[in-house]
Amino acid sequence: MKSISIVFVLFVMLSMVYVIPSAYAEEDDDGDDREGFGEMKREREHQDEGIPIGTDIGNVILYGTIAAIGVSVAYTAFKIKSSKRKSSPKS
Amino acid sequence: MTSKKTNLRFIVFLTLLSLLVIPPTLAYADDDDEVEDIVENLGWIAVGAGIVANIPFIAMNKIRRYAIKTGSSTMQIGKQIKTVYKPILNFHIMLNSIGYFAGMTHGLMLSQHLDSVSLSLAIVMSVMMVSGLLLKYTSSRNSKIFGKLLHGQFGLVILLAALISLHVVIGND
Repeated sequence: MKSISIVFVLFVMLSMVYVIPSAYAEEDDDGDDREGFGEMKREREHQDEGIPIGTDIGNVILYGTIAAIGVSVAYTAFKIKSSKRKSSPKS
Repeated sequence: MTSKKTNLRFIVFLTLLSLLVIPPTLAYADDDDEVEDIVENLGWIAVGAGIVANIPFIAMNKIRRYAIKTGSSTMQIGKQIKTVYKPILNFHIMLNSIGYFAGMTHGLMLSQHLDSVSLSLAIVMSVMMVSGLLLKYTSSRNSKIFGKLLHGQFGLVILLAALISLHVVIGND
């Protein structure tokens, strides 16, 4: 019953999460009504994207993150293993 | 058994309802710009949910540990915190789940602008979420310890915060 109430509250909050952004979405820009202006704007936005995948900095960030996660998982596993070895009696 | 079945049906019903309601809302929004604004706001909601869910929770844990460590005079504070621990933990789980799903929806709907920071952020968020689920739902002792150690890794928390900051800075440019 407790888990069901958690799920229910989660559902209500999720619904709110999807409704609130719609309410705060900005109105259309009047200047964007010209024909083709939206497409040009979108094209320009595509051109100056942050740090694309495949560039040097992009690869460093991505592989660095993956390496950091790998190191964390390995460190955690090592810690568990070493604590188990300590707790088991010596033969 | 019956109550478990009813719970499962209720969860399936809510999931289906969400799937039926949310995508059409976005699909029938007036135009592309409006949809993009909604999706961008979802990102801010994810950031806000993360801050509200994690900072008080981490602070509470630190205070509790400190109170227990320092001894008898502060022990009472530690005990008081222990009584509110469960509700705050549930709040932490719920808000983080909302933040995760809002963030993932934001990422999936803006996948045309995918960059390495966003991808790294999605990976770190997923690792934190999976370790949290492992911590909450597994009964095996080893998995629980593994989940606990991985979920509380300071390095991962710092990495997540750094990636969020970088993502916000790049997104605002």
